[in-house]
Amino acid sequence: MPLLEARKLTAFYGDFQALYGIDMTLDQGETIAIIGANGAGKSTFLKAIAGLIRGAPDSVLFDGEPIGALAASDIVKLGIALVPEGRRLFPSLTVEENLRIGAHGGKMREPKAQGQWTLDRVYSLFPILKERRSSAPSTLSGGQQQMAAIGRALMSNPRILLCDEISLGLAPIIITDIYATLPQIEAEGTSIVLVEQDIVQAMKVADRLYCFQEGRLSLAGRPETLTREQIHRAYFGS
Amino acid sequence: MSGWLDALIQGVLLGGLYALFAAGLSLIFGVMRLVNLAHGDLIVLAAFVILVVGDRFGLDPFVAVLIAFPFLFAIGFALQYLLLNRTLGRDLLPPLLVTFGLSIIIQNGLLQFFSADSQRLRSGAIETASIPLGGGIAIGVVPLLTLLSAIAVIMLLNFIFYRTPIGRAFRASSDDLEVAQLMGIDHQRVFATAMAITFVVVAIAALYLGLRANFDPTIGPARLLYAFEAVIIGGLGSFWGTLVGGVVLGLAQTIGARIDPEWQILAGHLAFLAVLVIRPRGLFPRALD
Repeated sequence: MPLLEARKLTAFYGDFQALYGIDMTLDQGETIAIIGANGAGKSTFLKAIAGLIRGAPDSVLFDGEPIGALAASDIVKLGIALVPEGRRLFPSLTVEENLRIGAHGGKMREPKAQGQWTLDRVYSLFPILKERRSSAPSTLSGGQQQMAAIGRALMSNPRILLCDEISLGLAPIIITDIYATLPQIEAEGTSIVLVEQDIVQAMKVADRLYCFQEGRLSLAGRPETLTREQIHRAYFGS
Repeated sequence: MSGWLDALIQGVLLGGLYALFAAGLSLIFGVMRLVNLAHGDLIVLAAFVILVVGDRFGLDPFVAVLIAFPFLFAIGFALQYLLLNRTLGRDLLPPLLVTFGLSIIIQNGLLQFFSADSQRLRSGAIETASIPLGGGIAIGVVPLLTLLSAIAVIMLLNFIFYRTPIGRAFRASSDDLEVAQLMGIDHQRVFATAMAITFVVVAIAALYLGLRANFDPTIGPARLLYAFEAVIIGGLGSFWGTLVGGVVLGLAQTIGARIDPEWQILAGHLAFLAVLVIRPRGLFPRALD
């Protein structure tokens, strides 16, 4: 049984339909990447999984249980955390308070077999955050803010980490640093769903790749089995 | 000269009362951007609750308010959870309309039960007790207690807001409601908790309102106006600013009254307008608002 499964997932913004019947699975310990052009529905998909857009109960299954109609505040307690696009740290909280509030929903969950994420462990993953722990998020660089956003999500001890465009607006060297931490997170038993526009980066770390086009799934497969032409067609359309 | 000094001292003490009126308003605006038009009527309602508890059990108002705290805390939680949460959203009009309606309901409900007669909380000798400072100036014990209570309330609200997990949840919900939900924060409960705390502050304000002057069911809207002015003079989202706002308002009123007794209320409003013109965001605005 997959850890996470989307079944004919649809999503709407008012009358506008953003997703059309998406099917997707994620296994324990796996990293998948979702790519696609702007407006393809990638972020909407993550929001639907995280509960910010609610749908039919059985459109999303977590450990076989229907969660599609649950509120975001309940879904994080089950073990699914979202790193939102644009970081969206809380500006009136310090860096450390931003991390601590990430544990707000996680404390309700039963301890996992894997190691728990604590403030110290997040600081050891991103040492710069410890130095800047009393700072306001607005004084951090883009890369540091992204580290804080990932750390904040980890503090809930997620079994699935949803990452929305974590490379957005960052220098290539910073992107490489941040991507280098993903295997360490995965090693803790956390499965990862990456939404990325940077196809090269996504293909390096993903076990499987999904491509969205105008709210529909246009391609799915293992990166090594997909040709450049297939990805180009699925990304831009024919 | 001592007359002016007296006006300054009494103005600062009066400011304590206005800060108490305003502190609850400042809290709920800071947490959920709710402008509660029934805030003044809630203070009057709480004063009647203290009056009834005191009369029924033969208690001093200072003891009756302690008994009223859990009751008002629960009412505040339920009011927000069951009613006001439903009005919050992108449109600012529903909460204004609903709290305006609530104001009318509270006023008319109180008129029905208690008539339009003026009431007063009685606490014996302390009401008229004063501390002489020399030079013909004296400080009333109740006004002094009001100011000290206002400072204590502001310190406590600051502690809750900046040093506790629920305070973090308050600030996070205020910053970004969507991401706050991603943190597992049930914003409806968080907002209800903020309103419950506000009701406790309202009870403290009601205690001093009732000890210092007569009250009747219709005086709520005027207290709301003072509370608004104090919050806006101080700067939205700043508790210490709210205290300063209350003191500025109190000082303006007593100095105005010193010049001409008819100028008391007008001088307060003029000070408010002057601050709006010179510093539209108030004296101590929160940097992020």
